[in-house]
Parts: sequence; structure tokens; C-alpha cells
Amino acid sequence: MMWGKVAEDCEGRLGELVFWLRKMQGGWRIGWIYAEKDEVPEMTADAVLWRRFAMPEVGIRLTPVMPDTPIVLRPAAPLTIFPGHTEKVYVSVPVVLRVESDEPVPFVLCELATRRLSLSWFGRDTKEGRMCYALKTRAREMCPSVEEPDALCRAICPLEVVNASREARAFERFCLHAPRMNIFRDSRGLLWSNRSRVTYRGAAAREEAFLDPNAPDESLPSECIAWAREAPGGNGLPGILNFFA
Amino acid sequence: MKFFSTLPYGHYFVAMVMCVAGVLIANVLGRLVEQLLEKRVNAQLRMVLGKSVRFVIVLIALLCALSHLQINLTALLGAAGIMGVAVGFASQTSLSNVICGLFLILERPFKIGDIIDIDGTLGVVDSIDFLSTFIRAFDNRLIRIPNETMMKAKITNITSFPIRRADLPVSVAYSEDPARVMQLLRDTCNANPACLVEPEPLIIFAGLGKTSLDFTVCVWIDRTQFLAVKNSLLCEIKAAFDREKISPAYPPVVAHVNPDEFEFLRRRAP
Repeated sequence: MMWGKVAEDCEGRLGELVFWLRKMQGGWRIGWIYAEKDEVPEMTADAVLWRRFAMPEVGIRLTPVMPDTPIVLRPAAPLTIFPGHTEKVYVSVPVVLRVESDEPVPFVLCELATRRLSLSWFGRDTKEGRMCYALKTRAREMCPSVEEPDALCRAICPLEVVNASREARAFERFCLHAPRMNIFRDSRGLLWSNRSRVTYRGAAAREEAFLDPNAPDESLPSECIAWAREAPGGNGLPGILNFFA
Repeated sequence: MKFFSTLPYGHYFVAMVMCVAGVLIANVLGRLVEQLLEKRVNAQLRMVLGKSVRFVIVLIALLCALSHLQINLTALLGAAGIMGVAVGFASQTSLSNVICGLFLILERPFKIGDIIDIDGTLGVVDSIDFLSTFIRAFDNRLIRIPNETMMKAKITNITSFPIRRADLPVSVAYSEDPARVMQLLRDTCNANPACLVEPEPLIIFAGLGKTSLDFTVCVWIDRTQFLAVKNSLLCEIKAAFDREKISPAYPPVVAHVNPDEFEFLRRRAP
């Protein structure tokens, strides 16, 4: 896999993102284009976006990071959970490719999404809330395998949903606080993110959210290859108006 | 001349120092007040409070200096009272503007940097002063509007909320299938990542026009990208119509020919 140090010219494809890294005298040039699945993009001057970085003669590093904005996940089919029941689902989130200088001080050159996610508003009304990305998910019960398409550029997030209320509840969307999540890589090259657990205690009570700072059990043995953009700030996830909707 | 000659020169010097020191202290304290209130109150109110502090301190310094010069302040204040009545009558409009400015600052219908539409004048709020509000129009004209006018006018704050809805009217020919057109419009909105997924786009079959089927595409957009997304979406709708061979609405022109006149013209033709 292409994560890690890059010393020479290279090019690659991650999801919808096709990119070129060109080493020049006194810097690097980074070009990219977005193409649909199975589409072979043409590297024409008009189509490819190029950026030039004048910098010391150092290598660059490619790191997967979580998106910089929370993500509203919509299961393909609404998930109804019985009272007192806990359901564990796996959602996979397209990572962002971070290109940074390697030494002496890491400096972020650019960040490129491996998939262009649509924007969505998450809030009680159109006055209060926050901008998020929108993502449809299958919210599977089974852990995704390495053979799946784009498996190596998606971070798997184990999500436990606890219905601690007295009534069955259909969950149509979840807000995942992606900027507070690390990325771990397991021995097969799969990317993982922190395990989240959310507890629903009824319409009148506030949801409880917990983000495990450690790597999920399914990923072990694994190493943390990218730290969260934002500090965890305790177990609760302030800033989210409603975890469920 | 006699008045100035009765006091030693030292008095004039001290009075001058008082004035200068007053101005300096007023500036320092005014700035201090603004800094202290930086995170507590908005920019406009901070500016007003800072200016008020400066004004009061300068006034006190001036009165002290006059007192030091042994000028009878009672008589001066009496004269100032009579003058005040006269000036008050003359400056009714200005006073009204000042009070309206204070109300605008306290009510906060807009703040500096907001885009507002005031009776057809569209622009960015540049400053809210005691007497007037300055609007920078998009063609870079600076428009001064008295605060009294602002209070009475209907103001639309365009950037008050983070997201806005764009309503785009679209018309197609009568021969087209409305359900297919609506689906195509919905797909086009969904394909644009900057059109918000939620609140979801709304496609309204607005009506059967005289010459066209009329639709309205209502999409929610991040306010900072409003115009760019609106433009790109219209281009994408046009491209989708071209690709799917959806006919645009052309107003039909029907020509009625009088048979008698037609025969007359035919006979006259060479």
C-alpha cells in the first residue's frame, strides 16, 4: 500500500481520487483529478489540478486521516432496535489523503478526499445546527473484508447502538464525529477507526456517546498511523445536537 | 486681554497639561474598555462604550482646566444650558439618528460584515456609527444611510443563518413527461456535492403555464457558496436536459391567414 514515505515520483488511485506526485528541483508538484469507478481519467493539462510546493529537498509522506467535518450516516434501511438490545454495526468512511513533508518538521501540503461527499445540515432546524458530510451506509453486522473494492482507503468504524429506553426505536441516521477519531492499520492493511458507543435512553433524555480511545478489538494487532484532528474532550461528544435522529 | 494677563503663565501651562493628559488618559481608558469587553459584547456596542468613555474623560479634563484658569463654570454651564436648548432644536434629526443607532446596536438585526438588503440596496455592512450606517455595495460604492432611515426600513439580512435556499424556476415544453423531468431534476441536485442532502431538495411542479410546464427546484446551500452553487446547478440542469433531449419551452407563434387576403395576394404576385 502507498501509505508512508515517498521519495520519488509516484502516482496512484484511491477511490475516486487519482493523483500524481512529481519531484522537481526545489520542491514537489502534486496533481489530482476525480474519476468515477472504472473510469480511466486522461491526464490532460486542463483536467488535472496541479499545485506546486517550493520546499527543501525532502521526501513527502502520505497519511490517511479522517474527514475534517462530522459525518451524518444514513443506513440504507432504517435500523430498528428493540428495548434493552445492543446492536453492533460496521460503517466504513472514505478517508482523506494527507500529503505532508517528511522532515525536519512535518508540514501539511494538502489534503485530498478519496471520495467527494455531499454536504448535509444536521440540526433541529435551519437556524441551529452544523454542516456535516452525508454518507449512505449499509451499516453491516459483519466486519468488511480486505477483498472489497476500495477497502484500503476506507476506515472501518465499529458502532455500538444501545437502546436503553422502553420502546423500540428506528434509527434513520447517526452523526459520527469523524474529526475526533484516530486511524489504525491492522496487519492486513485495513484501516480502522475508534469504536463508538451511543446509548439512547428515550426521547426526553439526552443521548450518551462514548468514543473508545484505543484501537478496536477486531483490528488487533494494529498500529495508530494518524491521530485525531481534534482532542477527544472526554467521553461525551459536545457539539453534536442530536446523535440520533 | 485683561483676563489673560491676570493669571501667571504657570496656570496656562498646567491647564494645557490637564487637557493633554485628559486626552491621553481618555484614549488609554477607552482602549482598555474596548479590550475588556472584547469577548463580552459585540463590536458595535464596544465601539460606542469606548467612545463614550473617551468623551466623558475629555469633558472632565476640559472642565478641570477651565476651573484651574479661574473661569466661572456656573455661568458657563448656565450659558451651555441655554445653548443646549437652541442646539437641541437644531439637532433633532441628529439626535434621532444617535438614538436609532443605539437601538440598532442593541437590537442587532445585523452586524458588521453581514450582507443586507435595505429597500432594494444590497451590500455588506461596513460600519454602524452614531449617526449613520455605511453599506458597501457589490459594485464598490459606499452608501451612507441615516440610522433613523434604517430603523424605519424593511431590512433583509441575507447572511443571518448558515444555510440558504435557492429557488430555481425551470420550464420545459408541454410534450415532456413531468414525472421524468422531476426525476431528472432530483438526480441533478443529488449529484452536486454542494447541494445539501438535508434539508432535502424539493422539486415542485409549479403549474401548467401558457406555453410550458413550470417547475421550481428548491435546494439548500451553504451560504458561503450560494452563488457558485446556484450557477453550477443551473449549468448542470441545462446539460442534463441536453443529454436527455428534454425540449425547452418555446412560446409558440400561431399565424392566422385570412383566405380572402391570401387569394388577393396570390393574384397580385408576378
